[in-house]
Amino acid sequence: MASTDYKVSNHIHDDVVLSILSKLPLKSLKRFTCVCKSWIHLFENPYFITMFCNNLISRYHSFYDDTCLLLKHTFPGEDDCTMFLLSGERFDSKLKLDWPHPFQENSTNIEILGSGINGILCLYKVNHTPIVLWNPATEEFKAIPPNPVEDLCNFTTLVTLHGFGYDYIRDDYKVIRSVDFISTLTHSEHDTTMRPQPLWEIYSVRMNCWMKLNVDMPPRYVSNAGGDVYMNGACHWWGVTNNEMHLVSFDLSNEFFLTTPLPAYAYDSFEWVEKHLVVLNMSIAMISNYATTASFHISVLGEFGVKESWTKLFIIGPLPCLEHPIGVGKRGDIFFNKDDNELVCFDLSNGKIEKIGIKGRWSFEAPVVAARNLEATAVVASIESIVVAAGIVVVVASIKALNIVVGEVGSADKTQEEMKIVVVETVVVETVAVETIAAETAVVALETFVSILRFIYQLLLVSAVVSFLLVD
Amino acid sequence: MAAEKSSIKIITLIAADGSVFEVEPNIVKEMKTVQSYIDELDQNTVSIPLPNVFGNDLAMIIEYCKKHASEEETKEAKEEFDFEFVKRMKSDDKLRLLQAASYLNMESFLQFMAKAIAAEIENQSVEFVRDYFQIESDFTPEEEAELRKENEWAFK
Repeated sequence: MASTDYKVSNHIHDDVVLSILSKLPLKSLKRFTCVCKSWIHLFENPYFITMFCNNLISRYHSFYDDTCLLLKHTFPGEDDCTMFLLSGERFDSKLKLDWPHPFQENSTNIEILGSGINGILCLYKVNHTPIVLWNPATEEFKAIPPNPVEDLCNFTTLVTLHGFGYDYIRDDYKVIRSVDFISTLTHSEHDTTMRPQPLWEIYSVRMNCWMKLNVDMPPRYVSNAGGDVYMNGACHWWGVTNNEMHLVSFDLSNEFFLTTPLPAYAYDSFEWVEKHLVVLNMSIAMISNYATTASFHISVLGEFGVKESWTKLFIIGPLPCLEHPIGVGKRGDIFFNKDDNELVCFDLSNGKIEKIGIKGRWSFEAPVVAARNLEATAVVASIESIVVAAGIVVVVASIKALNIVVGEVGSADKTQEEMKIVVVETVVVETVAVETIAAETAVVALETFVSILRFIYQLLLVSAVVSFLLVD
Repeated sequence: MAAEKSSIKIITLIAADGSVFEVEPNIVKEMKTVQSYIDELDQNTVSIPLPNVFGNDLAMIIEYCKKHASEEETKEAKEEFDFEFVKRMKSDDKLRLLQAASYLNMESFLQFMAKAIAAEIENQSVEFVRDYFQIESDFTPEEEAELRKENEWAFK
């Protein structure tokens, strides 16, 4: 470039460099603080932090394609739970879902383990039986077989579910639980040496059984909020060892775990700070709730197992109207319970608080779950499978997906009619698609047949020539 | 004013090396530097010198703008184009195009190039990044060692 006669400025503007750096992941950015002095203080530059944070929450992750939000809520003073599917730009469409069969008669105390994966949720009751895997789009469900742990003399067993997730390597869904033994003896009779070690067990859908895990992980720290999450093939929860809280991350494919201590600054405050574990646009994040200042601090983890890699990126507040976070949706949408028991969505990218429009005396206890493939993808997936030539099953599946909408929105007759039309149209379109493919296949087959004939004809010709030459 | 603007049929861009490009008005909409120049003039034909952009780079930028301004192209086709566009570039090309985008004040193309460069330097060494941006270290060896120790986890 220097050899040319034209002078083009070689200088890259600082704000352009900042724009590049703001698109890096936390780890690379921390490494590059050693490049030059002006890069050390990047995290003290509010302009840069804003850019970096916006990139962090808006970065594209295929996980969030076609996801929708599910909200479980419970009336105060009652144990009955209801599940809503929220959709639309402003979550203006709310659809009540029917619980799967095992929970239909008694819908009290239903809990959701972790988040939804590929449209599948793991539901359980407080006493842990039954545990059900449920796909609300297809209404399919599967009850996980119980695996009673043998009762030991003088001990009762305490089973705690720790996570539900997906094993990418084996294409399998798994559930992890711990089994602890609690002595029934009085303190004087108690002999600590006799107490068996807690067990860890893993359930695999493919094997359809529970298996013992050979690990010794910190168990779930139950009294803290936002218990467990799933991200990228691993289950994560707050665990406690030696009276210190850790993030425990269990890899479902390789069956190993890592612990990450909380950052030193997490213990700076004298007040009790509620710490919520969330997944913020595919980053593990901790929302610390400082009640006295009515503010929320969000720290993102840069590297599993490294305490120093927690980085405080967002400070929300003071906003006394927000009580506690319920869950995180797509991008930077954080759902909060407001002081008047209304559900609001806080948009991290612009700080706007929006009402979801669910009013009344309800309280929202369960996390908001982003579950994949709930309806849209179920239909898309079906069209794809028609190409593989499994027409009928697929069409039924799409109608099923749409039926959920019909059944629930259908209080107004007009809507129901419109929905029916949609169903009919879908079937028609798909049938046409099948026919077209069939016709194409026929053409290909005909062409192949003709080319085979041509080949045989050529073979005959050659052999005729050869025999003619031999005779000659 | 609106009538005058729409009367412009062809815009001539002249690169630093003298190469000439004739483009339609919708292609330069993204280039705010060029657009503001056009807006100030009320002529039917406009010729704009761009002394900070090389001909080769300008050709690539116009190719990009044409693809993205097209209403016939699907989103997938544009994404595919972006992927191939970055793939055939060397590091130097990316930096030059980034500078050109900055000079032409093309916000979305600038973000696109910044993203491509970020993807290239991600997970690379400190030395690689210094070399890439031609930055001289202004640390003493002791200072740098100290800083590396502080952020040890980020070097693994």
